[in-house]
Amino acid sequence: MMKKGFMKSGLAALISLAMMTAAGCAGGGSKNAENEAGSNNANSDGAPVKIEYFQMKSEAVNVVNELITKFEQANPGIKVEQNNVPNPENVWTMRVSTNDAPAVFTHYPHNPIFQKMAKEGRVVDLTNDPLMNNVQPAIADLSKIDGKNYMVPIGLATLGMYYNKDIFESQNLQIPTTYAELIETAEKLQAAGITPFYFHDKDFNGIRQEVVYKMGQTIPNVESFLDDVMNGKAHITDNPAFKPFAENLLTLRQYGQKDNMGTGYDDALRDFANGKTAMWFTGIWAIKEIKESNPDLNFAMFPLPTENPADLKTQVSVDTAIGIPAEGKNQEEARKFIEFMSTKENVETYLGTAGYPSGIKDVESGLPEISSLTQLISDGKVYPTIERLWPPGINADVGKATQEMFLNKDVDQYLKTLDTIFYNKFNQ
Amino acid sequence: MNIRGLKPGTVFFMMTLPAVLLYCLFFLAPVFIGFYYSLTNWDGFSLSYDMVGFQNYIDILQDKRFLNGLSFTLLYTVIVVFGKLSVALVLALLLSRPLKLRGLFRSIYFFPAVLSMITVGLMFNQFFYSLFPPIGEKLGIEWLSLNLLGNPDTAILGIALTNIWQGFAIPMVIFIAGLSNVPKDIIEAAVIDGASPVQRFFSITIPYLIPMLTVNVVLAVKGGLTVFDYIVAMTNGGPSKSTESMGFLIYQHGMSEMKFGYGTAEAIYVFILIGVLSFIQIKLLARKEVGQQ
Repeated sequence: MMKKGFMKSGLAALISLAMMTAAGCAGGGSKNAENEAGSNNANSDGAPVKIEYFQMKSEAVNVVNELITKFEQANPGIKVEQNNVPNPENVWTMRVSTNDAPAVFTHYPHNPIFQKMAKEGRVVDLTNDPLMNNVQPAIADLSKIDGKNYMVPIGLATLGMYYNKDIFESQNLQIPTTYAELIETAEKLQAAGITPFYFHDKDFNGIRQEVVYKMGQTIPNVESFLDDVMNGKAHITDNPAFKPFAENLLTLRQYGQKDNMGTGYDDALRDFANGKTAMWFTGIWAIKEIKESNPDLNFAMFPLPTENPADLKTQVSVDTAIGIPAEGKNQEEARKFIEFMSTKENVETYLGTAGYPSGIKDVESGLPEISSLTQLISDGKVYPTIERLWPPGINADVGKATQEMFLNKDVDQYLKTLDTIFYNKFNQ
Repeated sequence: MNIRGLKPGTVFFMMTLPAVLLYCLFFLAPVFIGFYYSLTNWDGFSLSYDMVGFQNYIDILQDKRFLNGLSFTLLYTVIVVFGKLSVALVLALLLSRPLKLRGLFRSIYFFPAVLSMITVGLMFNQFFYSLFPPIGEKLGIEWLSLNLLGNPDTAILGIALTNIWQGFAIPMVIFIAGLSNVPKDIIEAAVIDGASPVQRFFSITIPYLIPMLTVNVVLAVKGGLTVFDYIVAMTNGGPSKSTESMGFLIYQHGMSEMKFGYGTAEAIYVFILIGVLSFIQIKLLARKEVGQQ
């Protein structure tokens, strides 16, 4: 009897101890922030100040190390430690939540979790800050969150239509500049026994990217309209622009490969690289892998054409943007580092390997394959990823609903489903 | 064993204390903390959240996506449990016969178990995309000429097939161990009495295998109900929402859609479901064991 009683009370004590510890961790977070902010005079004894650069691009590790060496030579009092981890977005959220934020970090201004954290005041507001002076105005504009800039946009990503130059030449085809020409091109290719398009519709993510891109490109004022829908003030089914948008998605599939629903992103990439299709729509991030899969492939990209060539524009998302946490250590040194990373020369070094377009003024970057897209961007013919304002999870739902439409080919049902996904979402 | 006047029981308990402490801290405490969060609308990282009582639990029962996930998971579990255990039992019987190269065959059949689930998932992704469709086309089988994973009706089979291919090895080894425990003298006596191989299998071998079967069924059911890795590697819940398992939904809600409290409440439901099912299985199968009548 004694033994049992002892064990029981011991166990209960342990559990309550464990729960108290955990509760302590969860609740007492913000208290020690003040202490940390006060102790940033670490170099009073002459040792260099160490700052951590938490950057999310594993492919950029080498070029960032090069730049850090250059920075440290110019600033002997500061040491920068690069940190690149797997699953960086979750790690970043966790570290900022637990007041262990890295001094400088990269993130994506369209990321919903980042937006939420920024709105909660976890990130330094850089609107009209001298650090933003070098940024192209159109790009500063589209990377705003509720009218404020929280990060300096360095590198940009966009999407477009990849095409196989050899196939286009052998069939005497020109790059289509209108939607009608695109369909015409596809018909000619099909008649010649060539698969015009490949779609990677097995991944809802790929479809989501295409849907979001086309919504932003073809539906007038779509951001404010969807905002109304999410506030319960409008219905997607009442907007006449959505039906042609949905029908276009479906029409293009007629010119796709047989098993579009069974093709994943990697499969489509490999098949495009091996010349099995003339065209493939996805982001510029595939260039490197296509070249690795088939170094001999002669390809380039063109912007997805619109009904009217005058409306042509491309969706831009910020791919590398640097910011400072509100409760970070050594903010002065962190600013110096951002200033260094956003100069014309260093941005050119940084983007040189990946070949992405830049958000910084006068920077010459971008691979020859994407010159028509880079031109659109420097002309300011850009629009943001409209999904940036959607609550988390909605974009996945949109991708999945579109998969369903490709399976049952029912456009009206699709618009109804879209309406249920968006309608009144902000008030739920 | 009497240290400074303490009773032996107390001394023994003290010795287990480090293990008990770690177990409580890393296994029990998270369960209780998780239950606490399931009563909130916490998004996973905000500093503030509200208590919502059992609202999450009520909402889940009306959530079509959850109910679809539940029926997918149950159907998937049934397919995988039958598939895994029948393949495992047949191979265990074959590999218990006195074959030449028996050890080699046992190693070959065990091999899939040492691969990681994600690796196997990605491998089968390739099989389903570029290996099976041409075969299906040659044979004129319509549903096999496309990627099984791209069709909402067949995707469940594709995932289950992958799971069975990898998952039969462990139950097979357990069955082989069980078969070596069947007393030879009883088999010999049955042969002399004129019992056919089928009769010997059902009346002697199976009763001796019941403990192994219990373990295997419990493990396979648990594996089926908590399927996650294959889904992530092969379909990501798609096409449409046809392959969202419970584990996948919990992850989606908790991590991607920032509804941590809601996801945790779903996890508690799954925890209860697995607990009840395991309890029933063990009770039912325990009654059939040899010497338990």
